[in-house]
Amino acid sequence: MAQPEPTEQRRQQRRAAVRMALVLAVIAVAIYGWAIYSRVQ
Amino acid sequence: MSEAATHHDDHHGHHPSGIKRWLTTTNHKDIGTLYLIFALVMFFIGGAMAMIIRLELFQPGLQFVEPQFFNSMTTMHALVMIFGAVMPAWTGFANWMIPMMIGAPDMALPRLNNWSFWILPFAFTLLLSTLFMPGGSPAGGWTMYPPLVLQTGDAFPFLIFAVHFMGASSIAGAINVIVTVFNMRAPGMTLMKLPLFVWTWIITAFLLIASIPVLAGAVTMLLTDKFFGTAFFSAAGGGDPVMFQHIFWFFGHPEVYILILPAFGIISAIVPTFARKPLFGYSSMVYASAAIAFLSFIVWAHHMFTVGMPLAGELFFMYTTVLIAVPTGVKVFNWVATMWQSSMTFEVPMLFSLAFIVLFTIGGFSGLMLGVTPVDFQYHDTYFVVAHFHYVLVTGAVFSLMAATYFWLPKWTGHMYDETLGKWHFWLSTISVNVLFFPQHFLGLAGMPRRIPDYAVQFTDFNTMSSIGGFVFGISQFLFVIVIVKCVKGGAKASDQVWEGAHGLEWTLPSPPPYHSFSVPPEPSTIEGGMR
Repeated sequence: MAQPEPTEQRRQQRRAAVRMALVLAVIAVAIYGWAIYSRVQ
Repeated sequence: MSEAATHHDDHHGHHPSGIKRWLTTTNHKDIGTLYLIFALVMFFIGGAMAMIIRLELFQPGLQFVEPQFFNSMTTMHALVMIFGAVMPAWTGFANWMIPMMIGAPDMALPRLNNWSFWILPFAFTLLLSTLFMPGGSPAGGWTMYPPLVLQTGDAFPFLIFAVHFMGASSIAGAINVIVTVFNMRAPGMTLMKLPLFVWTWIITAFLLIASIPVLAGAVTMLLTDKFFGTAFFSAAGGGDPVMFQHIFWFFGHPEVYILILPAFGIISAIVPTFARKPLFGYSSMVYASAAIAFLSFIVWAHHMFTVGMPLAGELFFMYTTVLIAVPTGVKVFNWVATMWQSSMTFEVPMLFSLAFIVLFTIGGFSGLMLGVTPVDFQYHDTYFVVAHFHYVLVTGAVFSLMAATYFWLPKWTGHMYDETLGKWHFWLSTISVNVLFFPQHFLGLAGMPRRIPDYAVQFTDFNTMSSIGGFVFGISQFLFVIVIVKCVKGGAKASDQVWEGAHGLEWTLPSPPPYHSFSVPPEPSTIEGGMR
């Protein structure tokens, strides 16, 4: 069951997915940092 | 990335077999299967801990275990069931079904997907290894309140890092779901055509990304309080132990909806199928889910009314909590309206869904009672709370997981499951789970505290009843395993559609579906609205 070459549209989808994943990861890390930093007196 | 993606796709022409297939897999179905098997194993490990709890509580007095070990069992049972059983089970269903439901070939980030799963066995090895450590397993409750949790022995850092790993796995899984749904939908699959299971999962994923880092922050501060001389939660050092409770429940309440929102999606898929009618009020279901998710972030202090808060705070958290009944009620009424004047049949997935609607609503009502501040002072930390959250998590989340398993097993395996055995599993589970948890309401109202290994003699009868229900419920779950194994091994051939009333892209694929779901996107004309 060999897969066909991904189309240009599929490549663009993947790139967009990676960009979005990075943004979400940055948001998660920012919330983590905020949770701790807001408690530092 | 594009080159890597090309290479990755070619790679699947000859995927490895045996253990290497499972270790290195990037396929959404393989990873979904791994998640589901992991969750089932954890369900039995957590269940064994529950059996120890119910055995000790069968009679008053200390018979079988030391109080410290009993406390470990309540703590570990919760951690294993929440983070090891229910959450991975939902991620397993998401992996299996979301690409098939939206017309995608796989998840958007397959390698991250592999990593998300394989973190979990390490996390739970860390956590379960504490059972064999000096000082025993964590015993301060799954909520890890300081200063009690800081008395944990060698197990403490293992607990913290296990929670960190579980969190990393969940966040990675959530990112994958979001980017998959937003980037990989087939042409014509608009957001308001998505099946509700996909919708509820996207909302769950956003809850995960916003709440899990807060838990990670809280446990990191516990770690530094214990080992690095900080005093975030130590009053002696100028910190505030109550602040931990606020931070924990800021995570903890969205977590409750992380466990139950995908269940709403499942029920919204099963009820229309067996009622042979489109779902009533599709868009209101989407908005109600989003409303529940929003409200889940502004109700957290209802878990800690008795800690001492300004009156305005108590009123605010009471009103927001009671407000959740509105979108939840919308959902329950929509399911009932879907069944109204329909042509229902009662196969096992439908039976579990109907039990869900009735029993989850009981849990919802006891939740409303607990949300009313003045009466919460009576119920707080009693068995009433235990009864409440087991109605929402066992007859809610776990029953919907079972409904979903029966619903999709024929699609996954290509075989029909044994309907007779399934019905035995359903009736034994449903009767015993009520014998198990309903008397706990009475125990709580009569004043029996939670998390104790012994109790006053007047609580004996209801405890004995509850334990008998617990043992029957525990044993009944072996039927579930037997049904699954039988179905995987063989049985009557399942059609592609499987259920007469089934609609949606996943049912257009063969049973079992090919290794890659939609290498070619489905025709836009085949995409129906999500109310089906």
